Amino acid sequence: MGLLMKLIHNENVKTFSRIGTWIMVAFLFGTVLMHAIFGYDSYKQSPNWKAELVKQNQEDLKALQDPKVPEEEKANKSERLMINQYRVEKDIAPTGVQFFALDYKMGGESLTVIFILIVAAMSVSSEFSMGTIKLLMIRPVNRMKILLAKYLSVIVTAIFFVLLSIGLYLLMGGIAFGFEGFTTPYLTILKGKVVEVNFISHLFQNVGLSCVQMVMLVTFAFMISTVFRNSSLAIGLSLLGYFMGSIISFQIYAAGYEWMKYSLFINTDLSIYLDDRVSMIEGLTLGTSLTVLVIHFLVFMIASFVTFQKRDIAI
Amino acid sequence: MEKPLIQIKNLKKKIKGKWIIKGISFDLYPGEVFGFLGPNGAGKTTTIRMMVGLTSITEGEVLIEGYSIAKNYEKAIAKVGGIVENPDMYKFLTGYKNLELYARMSPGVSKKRIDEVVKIVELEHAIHQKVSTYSLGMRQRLGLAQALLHQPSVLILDEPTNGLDPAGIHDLRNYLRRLAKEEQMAILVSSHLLSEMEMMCDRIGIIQNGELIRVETVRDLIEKDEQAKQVLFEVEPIHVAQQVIEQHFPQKRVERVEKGVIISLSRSEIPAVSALLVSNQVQLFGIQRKSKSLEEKFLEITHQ
Repeated sequence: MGLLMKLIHNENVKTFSRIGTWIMVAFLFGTVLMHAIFGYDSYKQSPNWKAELVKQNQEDLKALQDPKVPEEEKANKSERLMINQYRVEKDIAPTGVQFFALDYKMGGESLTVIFILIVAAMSVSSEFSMGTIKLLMIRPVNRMKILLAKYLSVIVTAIFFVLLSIGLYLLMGGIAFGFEGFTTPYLTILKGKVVEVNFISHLFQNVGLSCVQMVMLVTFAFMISTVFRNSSLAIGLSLLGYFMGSIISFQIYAAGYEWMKYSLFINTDLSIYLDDRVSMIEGLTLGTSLTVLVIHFLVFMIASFVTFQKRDIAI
Repeated sequence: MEKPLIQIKNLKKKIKGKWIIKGISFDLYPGEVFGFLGPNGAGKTTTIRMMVGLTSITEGEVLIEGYSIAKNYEKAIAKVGGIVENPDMYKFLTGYKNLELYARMSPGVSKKRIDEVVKIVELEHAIHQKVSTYSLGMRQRLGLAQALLHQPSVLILDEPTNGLDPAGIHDLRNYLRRLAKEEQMAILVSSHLLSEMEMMCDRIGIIQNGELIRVETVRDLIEKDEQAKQVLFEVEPIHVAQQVIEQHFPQKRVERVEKGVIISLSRSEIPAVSALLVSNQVQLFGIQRKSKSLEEKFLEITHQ
């Protein structure tokens, strides 16, 4: 094992030996279970699905012609109508597990992000609060390497939590609604047409895109934790960013501050560029969003590494 | 003389515009235990932090086996085992898991070496328990174990006797002396337990207000300028003895204690005083020469 790998292993040992980490795992398990139990009726598909969909399609058609229905609702309904007509036509039954697993975003994801942010926020600051930083530093290892190992270990932990969370959704979804939904094609709309895609790859594409925001938040929390040695501050600020960041940014932008379109939280959701779509905000492209993300990432990393390298450890 | 393992050259530290360490220089040689002595706030821990690279050096240099801690950190620190202030470890891990963490950070530390140091510090019985269950003394020993893991040539121990019971201090002292002699290590020990330093160290450096005001061998420190020593005469009746001595030696101050009287006398004056006491019908039970302890010496020096 190379030194860096050994250091990452050390950090993983610390993270996964803490009882708190396993409490988080238990919480995640409980949340997915609750989601499955209380959502059971709404995800469960009826054997009579065809008749029901035909009926719903007629209602949707009616709504689309009604001038009183707002435009936005019409757009949603028209997409639903297209997919459901395709279903009836091609005889592709809707499956509960697909809807359930994709709703990971409504349930398990927030919890996963919160847990990972806690891990990221504790990584450096807890060494200071426990006093263990002193014995950690008086080793023949460059400080940069120690910090890099810490960061990479947080990323490893993040991957673990995301995969665990998705795995739990698939497992419990499969148990509750049947595993055959894994292989049923998933229907989505691409360039105005209904297409069949592989469900699992669609799911991971979704999850992968939401990880962009998570990585940015993790890096932010890690930076605050390293610069201020304060885990509460790091957790607080990064959670604020997670829950309120895009809302606040959009509001400031809407109030006439053009430059806000280059702020972090307006650019973290890359799924808006999927399927040839364009951002709601004028002038933003995938390229500009990626540039904004990379610049933020570098600033966070440089701030962390520079302060960590220079700091006098006097605790 | 041999080449020093540690060289401290005019070391200075400025914090917030104030000089905390004002130019400390000393060398540490293989096979010696060096005591770093000073009242709280004198700059012991700050000096130690600079020596192990935890804080930056404002001016001056620390060389370990010739490698500068500032410019060649990894090479220099590889020779050093240390404890800075408290031996803080991961409490949620067992002692053994803690040692494994540190073992992975130094090249060439085998599982066998971990078992070896555990045996050296006599923690075999508790090594697989969580550190949160350890007493302070056990944590000190675990701290010593991690400092020895990578077989350093230099040990820097900040207050290692903290939290040890008398038996533990005795063991540590023997163990450090053995390491110094057998392994030819250079050991720096800071402490406020002065009586301990006296028995543990070969040389002592006294630091006060960021300056090293004296470096001497323990023997010199105790013996030097000791022409007159405190002598205790165990006598009965005490008041008669006091009267007689004060009559014949009016320039001496006689101090009454429970068992007898204490007078400051040179060696050659003792027979005259005892003869005087005996001839005045004072019963004499014993005579003791007391050399000043390091503690008294230390207080004397730092109160100047």
